Amino acid sequence: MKAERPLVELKNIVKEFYGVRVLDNVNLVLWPGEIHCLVGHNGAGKTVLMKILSGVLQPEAGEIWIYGKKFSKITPRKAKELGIFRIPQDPELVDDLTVAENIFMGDLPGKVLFNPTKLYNDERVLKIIDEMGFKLDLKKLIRDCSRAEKQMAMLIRGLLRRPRVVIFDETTAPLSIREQRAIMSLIKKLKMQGVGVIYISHRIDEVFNIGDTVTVLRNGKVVVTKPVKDLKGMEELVYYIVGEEIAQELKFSRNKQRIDEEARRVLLKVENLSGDMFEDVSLNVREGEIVGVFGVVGSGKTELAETIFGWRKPKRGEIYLRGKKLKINSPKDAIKARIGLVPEERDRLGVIQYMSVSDNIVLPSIARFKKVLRTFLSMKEIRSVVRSLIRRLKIVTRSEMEQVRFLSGGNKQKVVLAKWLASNCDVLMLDEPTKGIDIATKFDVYRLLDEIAREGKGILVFSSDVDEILMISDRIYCMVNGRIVREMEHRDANRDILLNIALGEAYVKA
Amino acid sequence: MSKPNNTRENSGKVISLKQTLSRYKQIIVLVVLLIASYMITPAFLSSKNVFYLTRIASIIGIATLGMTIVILTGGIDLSIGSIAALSCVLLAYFEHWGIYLGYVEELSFIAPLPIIYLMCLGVGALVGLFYGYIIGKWNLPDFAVTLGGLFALKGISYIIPGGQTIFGVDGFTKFLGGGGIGIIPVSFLIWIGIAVFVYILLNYTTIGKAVYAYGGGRDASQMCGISPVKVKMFAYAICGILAAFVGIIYAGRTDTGDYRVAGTDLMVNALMATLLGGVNIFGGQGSIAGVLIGSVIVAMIFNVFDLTGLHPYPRDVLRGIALIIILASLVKGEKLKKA
Repeated sequence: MKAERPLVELKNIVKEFYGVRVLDNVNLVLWPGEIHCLVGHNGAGKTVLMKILSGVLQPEAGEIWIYGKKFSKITPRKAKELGIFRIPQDPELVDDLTVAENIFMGDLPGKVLFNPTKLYNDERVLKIIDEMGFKLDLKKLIRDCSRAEKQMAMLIRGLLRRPRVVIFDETTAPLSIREQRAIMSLIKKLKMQGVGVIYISHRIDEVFNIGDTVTVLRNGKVVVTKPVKDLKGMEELVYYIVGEEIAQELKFSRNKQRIDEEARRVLLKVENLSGDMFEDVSLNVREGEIVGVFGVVGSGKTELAETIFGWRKPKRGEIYLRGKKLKINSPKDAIKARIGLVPEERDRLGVIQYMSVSDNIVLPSIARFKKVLRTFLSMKEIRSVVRSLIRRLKIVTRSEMEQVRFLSGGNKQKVVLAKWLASNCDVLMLDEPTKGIDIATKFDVYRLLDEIAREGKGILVFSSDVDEILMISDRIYCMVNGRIVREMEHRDANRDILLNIALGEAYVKA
Repeated sequence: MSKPNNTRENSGKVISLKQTLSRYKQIIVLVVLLIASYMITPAFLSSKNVFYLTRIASIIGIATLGMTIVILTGGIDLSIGSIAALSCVLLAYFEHWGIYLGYVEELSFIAPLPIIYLMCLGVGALVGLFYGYIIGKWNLPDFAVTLGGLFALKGISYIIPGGQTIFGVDGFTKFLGGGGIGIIPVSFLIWIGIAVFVYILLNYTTIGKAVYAYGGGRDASQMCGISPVKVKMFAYAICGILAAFVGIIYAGRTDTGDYRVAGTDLMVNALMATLLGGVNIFGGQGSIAGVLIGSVIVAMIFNVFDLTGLHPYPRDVLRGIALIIILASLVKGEKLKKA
């Protein structure tokens, strides 16, 4: 399989931001027909390295060899000429153009100018869509597309240019299980054609599924590069990613509560709630309980969470807190009732990027800091609350005054959690709480949830990650096509049952 | 992703020269401008001119403070000139209640002076509350509503005195608008006082934090329980009150109640000062210290060319060029991001 010459060779790449070294003598070799997985923490330097390869960033030192030719730096244009294509985490597309227009942007076929309908009937595009086996409306505006559809559009755009190197930067994170499978088979097809693939992911199982070689980055340095088949199981890979000390901490187990403990009071009760994308949902959460709502992407669980929180309007149904009926018209009402939501879209709904860590944390509970003359905020008190939360949640930031946009994804998520800890809410809902978060932070989040539950609060976790649901929930609701189809205790659930319910019925409908 | 995780120890201390320069660039531009102005005309630093300069700066500056709050919420108030005109006309009108609108031996107050002031400022507040309510409630575009206000209020300030300019206001108002303590204009002291007040409002109150939060992330801030209607009403009300106050100062400085104050100059100057002060036009970012300097820079650009003795039109050409250069040097390289 190995050709004589590698497609890409990165030698001793060094990159610094404001005097901080984010890549330190990084080496990486990519052969034709190889699937090279790149793994590591948030902030380990994976994306930066790939931005250097695709010409977006320039390295401070090091050599880039492509097809045996040496380059001291590449520009985005040069990368395009060389056939290097990167699918970024957040697709860079134009909102007001259609999917097809975005796909062809930059090199519209000449004939299209005279007959725009050709754009939507391009054989190559239709063939790719057909081969991957998913539905994609080419006439839809990007504005109306889901993240998955945007990723697909971006992917097709790249494939049309017959790339020789394709970089997937966490492409599968927002996708449903079916779409992920489509991408996987596509990657295998690319491999057969001799294309080199660099695959960035947080999901360790994916590495074992498709990877030929894996390179682990930690704090800007290569820890190891190894053929995947030489790895002794997932533990070895986790060990490389997190380092020795932390590997000890990656154990989490929770003494699961049992549903028949009637002594525990019901905190939150939802009855026959209907809204966008979900119908007739009833569920409850008891004190000290972690309840999981499991469903694939598009099953309506995000809409359900946002409706309970007052961000969306319900069509009908009731919400009770400690047996008292709530009237929730906006998040403000939910917060007043001491319900918190950690939303799925962290960057848009969870944090305010240009505000400091401190401001973000105290915002929902800011009224309680009106201490000076009962009007002005007590900065001293805010500082002490924020600092203790930063310590408790191990948020990595230079100071509490740093703007949130400079934090990594996992630390942003911890800020969102800290926000609800500061406001001391009774019911905490979390929507995909560990999406796009590195493994060490993920366990920090689990431990924290366990801790909060033991304080007697109720926790409702909405997730499409079956392992996550199994690891933390005392009780599980399965959601399919906007309806809760099954409720079960932890001891009755396992991977197969859950996946069967969630996927089986999803397949039948589709 | 661009930041490493565990570099707490070293990252705090490494601040390059470039960063230091960019942090203090407003001050640097101000100093360069001061030196340049002095070189163009040494009269620039005469005590008389410093008095004029600070007076212009304070009028622009007070309006700018209000504009800043509105822009921090991601809005814009195009009508501050009209609000100022309305308040200016109202003040004079209330002091010529039922009598001839030209110079008179004795003014006729509709009510004691403090009440007249409150009425003028109250009109500004009411206008702002109205803007804020309909913008926040129905999610209307800020510029559309305030553009409408610009014309409507201009019309009202013309109708009230029947298109006449009202001559003569009371002594206290004249002292506010044109007086000075030593070489320091009274309006300058008021400006600084208001700046401190606005600074405290923005940084030490819940509504101030809500202003930054709403401007920095509309959706995320509502997820924290912040009400857009409240934020908008607060911002526009403060802006309206400050614009009305500028109207009072105008009346005092010119000793008239003149609807022609309602031009777009005040709005354009305040907008310019806000931008020069480093406020993000899309909201969420900006500091009071920045816009104070911004206001001074705008005042200087106007003042220094007036001193050159050039014909007004070439003066405007130079002014325009200077403005482009300054704005470019301040804003270039800064990524303005829509929240």
